[in-house]
Amino acid sequence: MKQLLEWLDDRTGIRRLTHEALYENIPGGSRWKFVWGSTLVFAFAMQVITGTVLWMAYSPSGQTAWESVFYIQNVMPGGALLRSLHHYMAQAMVVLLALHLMQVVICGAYRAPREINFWLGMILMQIVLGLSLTGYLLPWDQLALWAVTIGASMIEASPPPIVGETLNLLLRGGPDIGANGLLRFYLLHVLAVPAILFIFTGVHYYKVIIHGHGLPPQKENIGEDTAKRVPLDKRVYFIPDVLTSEMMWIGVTSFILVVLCVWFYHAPLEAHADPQITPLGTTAPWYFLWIQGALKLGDKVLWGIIFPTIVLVFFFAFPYLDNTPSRRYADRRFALIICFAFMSSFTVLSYMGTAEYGVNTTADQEIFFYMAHEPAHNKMGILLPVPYEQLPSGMYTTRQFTAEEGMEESAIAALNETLYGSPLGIQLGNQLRTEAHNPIINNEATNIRFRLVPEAEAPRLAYVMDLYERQISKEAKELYNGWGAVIITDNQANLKRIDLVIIWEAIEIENGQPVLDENGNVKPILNEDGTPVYNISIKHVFIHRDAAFFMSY
Amino acid sequence: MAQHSTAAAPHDGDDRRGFVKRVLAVVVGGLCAVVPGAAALRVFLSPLWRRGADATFIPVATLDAIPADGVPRMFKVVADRTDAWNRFPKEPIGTVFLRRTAEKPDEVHACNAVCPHLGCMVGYQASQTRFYCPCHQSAFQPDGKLIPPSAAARGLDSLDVKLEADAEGDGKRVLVKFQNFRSGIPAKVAKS
Repeated sequence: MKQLLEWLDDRTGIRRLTHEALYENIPGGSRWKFVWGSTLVFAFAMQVITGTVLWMAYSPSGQTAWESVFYIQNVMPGGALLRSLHHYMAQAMVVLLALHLMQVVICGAYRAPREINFWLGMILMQIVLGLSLTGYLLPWDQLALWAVTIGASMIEASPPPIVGETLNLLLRGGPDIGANGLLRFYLLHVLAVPAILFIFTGVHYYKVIIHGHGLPPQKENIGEDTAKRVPLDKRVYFIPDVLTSEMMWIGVTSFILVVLCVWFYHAPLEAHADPQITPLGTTAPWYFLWIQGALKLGDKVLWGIIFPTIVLVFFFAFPYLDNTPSRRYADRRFALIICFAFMSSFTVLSYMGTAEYGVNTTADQEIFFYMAHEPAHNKMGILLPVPYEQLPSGMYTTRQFTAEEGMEESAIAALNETLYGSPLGIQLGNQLRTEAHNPIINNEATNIRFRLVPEAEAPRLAYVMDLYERQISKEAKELYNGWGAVIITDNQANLKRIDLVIIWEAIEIENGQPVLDENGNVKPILNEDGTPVYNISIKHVFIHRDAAFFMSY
Repeated sequence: MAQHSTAAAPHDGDDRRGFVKRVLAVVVGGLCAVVPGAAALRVFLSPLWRRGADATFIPVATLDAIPADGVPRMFKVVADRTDAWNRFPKEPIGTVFLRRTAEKPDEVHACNAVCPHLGCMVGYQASQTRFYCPCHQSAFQPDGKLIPPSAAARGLDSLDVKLEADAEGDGKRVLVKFQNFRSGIPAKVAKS
């Protein structure tokens, strides 16, 4: 064995290569704050492995991409775990990158002679974000199409027009994203960007070998770089001391990831991309939320393009902005304050980027979204996972859940009585028939008849109806005297149609907010004869017996 | 790093012949790289030379299908669509909102449903009498005008409309000159 190694080394020089690359003496020993680089290398290796196998079942075209991902996710044995690992490791990489960058900035490890390596790291960060962006489109679902449409439109809008337009055409492969664009993203994701990442990682690591790991600031004299001059007895070998401790961190990362992917999070796959409908709740991936938040501050070119560019330039210039001779924390108060101010403003901007912040859509649409939105980001409408057997056809109302104990039946009877032939009943019937095209409402209101939710037979439906009622009462200000209905019809064999209806009395609205009088009450809008004007919103969904919604329930 | 101590080999880098050699190496090497590079670049840049079909009037609805009540109604624009090597006969290529008012029932106003901010599809919210974009909350009046403050830089893009007698029925049908416009800029510039 030893002879074989000798021979191999003689012919290839492998010993020197591995010695240079791996037998590196780390002064001061391994510390948890030094491990982020190694965990990132591991994360990239994991992405290459999972990605290559995903590649075997992925078919990049508008007609087959979503279908092949659906197959990986729902049919292929082990496919769901593989895709989840790839999906969530991509996001973990962004977190690890942030930690790596934070450690470098806090320790001042970007000082001479390591500025170039700092810049290489910044470039690597852009490359990883590029991988995320290009990977985002590949499932060809609604989220993919619209997130990439927004991103590409931002590029299109960047000044001057000729540059924006050219970049947009080259990225999308045409004015809109189509067969050519998908292939461009695909090729970038599986070949071009990983190749660039591989090369830059190599150079980045080579420079770490050349300059050595920077010492913790308090361990060296001010203005000196002693990384390569630490006495041998103060050093720790990379193998096995440092490596084993890093393996522990990598092990912890993998363990957390596998647990999350198996029991808690499955990579989402939304409905097939539809260029004609933008779903509610389209947001950027969480690590771009800060740009989305900044966009809410005003001008799009300024906040969407110039501001992120300034942030990037600022990071690149940081080694020269923080130029005190000492790397010790006490001497770098200004730089550290700026660093923490940055982190805080990123957090605030990210919060501003969430849908919860700022202008929202109307209350009725929010409630429909809560009830019936397609699975996305590990959330879905609470109605969708109700078991198929617990959706008995009929008309149900939230009035059942506002009635007093024991009075439910008479409350529903009274409602049916009021609706029959009344203007509201006729309006409801008309809207269901003409707007929602509900096939069972054949003439106005004559066959609108609510009944009790059969709680013994459909406990889950009763539970969901109760939550529906709570959502409507929570928005009582906007949905004045509002109530809801759920109409379930057997549309075809193995397919149910569910109409969600919200009915409320119209009030004066200004800029999306209810107008209040001096007593803080809303102002109802009335007909000439003093009766209330009703607003009715309807949304319908279809649920198939084999729909995948039930799997997580 | 290990030390490579090789004796300085005599080379002819300093004289004229060496200079010519170097220039030649750069030129020949450059030419070799230009051939595949240029051929690849031409194809990579091909979307820049692509020209889309000119906008034509496409029948979208009958006049009767748009109640003259000032409320915009949504219609799909159906036409043959070509996407690279794929051809899709009779597919939705866009969405428009058509609107008639009680004052001028013979006039149809059409606007493209694409939000002029970043290209999402807006929806009409009857209870708020406004268009609303789900991506960045831009809002527009029923006639397409921008409601400030909105992220969009201009109102919804209006489209040319033509009415013509319906060959089958006795009513009229509505034709719309369907076009998409560049997003994100205040000016309305058609995409080609």
